[in-house]
Amino acid sequence: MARRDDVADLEEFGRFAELALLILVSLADGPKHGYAITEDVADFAGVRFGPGSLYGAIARLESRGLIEALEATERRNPYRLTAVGEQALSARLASMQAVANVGQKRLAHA
Amino acid sequence: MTWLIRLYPPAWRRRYGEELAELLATQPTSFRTGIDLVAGAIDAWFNPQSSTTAVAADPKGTPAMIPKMLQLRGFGHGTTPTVADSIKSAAVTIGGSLAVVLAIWWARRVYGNNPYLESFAVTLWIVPMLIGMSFTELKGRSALVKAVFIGVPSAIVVAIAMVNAG
Repeated sequence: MARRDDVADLEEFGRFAELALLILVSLADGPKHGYAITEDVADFAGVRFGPGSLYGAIARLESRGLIEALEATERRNPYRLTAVGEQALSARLASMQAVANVGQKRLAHA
Repeated sequence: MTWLIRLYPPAWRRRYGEELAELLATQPTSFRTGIDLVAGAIDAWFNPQSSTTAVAADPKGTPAMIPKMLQLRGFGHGTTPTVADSIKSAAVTIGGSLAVVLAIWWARRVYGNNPYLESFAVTLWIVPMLIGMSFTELKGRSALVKAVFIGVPSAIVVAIAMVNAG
């Protein structure tokens, strides 16, 4: 499957790739701070990750310009998706969708 | 549990410390959270991100030498090597190993067999392999980082060979 080299690749995040994807999905419907991201991901993915892992992924996403911090409110820093982050998320979801489609087709013929 | 935040690099704490403390205040203390924080701190030291190194210029102007030294970012997580880089690395490794073999063969002919040559013959091949890493695992790192991560293991290899021969 061809990979679009102009889009940031979440694979570069190594063991943080899945976490980074979940954070991007969480921020897709609006800015959230760390606690809200944790609760949201627990709700839609059933995954609850630790605070060290969360901020490891946030630091990587912010460093690569996929998310950006908004002005802090009461010691909490909300984050939002950037345009680059939207592109990366969109590309990753499309790639996952394509794999899911192939898998489902093959299972149907099995 | 917030005391574990002190394990993180100073620049990291300045950027994310307050937020992390705030998040920890909302969570029950658990062994798992502690392990996660320790693992996060180790990761932050070994894989400094630009979001934290950008604020590394702390108010006291302390040079962030250790984070820079540690910008190895874990093998496989640095600048992605190209096919050409891999070929260069392989060429240095294979060419260097051949050079070592030839040098030892020549030394044996000139000086005859001795324990040092025997010992170097079975250990020195590691050095070209370490040098070859400068095109792959160490690609994009500073000369200082390359010198440390190639020089120190090479020195250890030579030291082991010397001790083994002696």
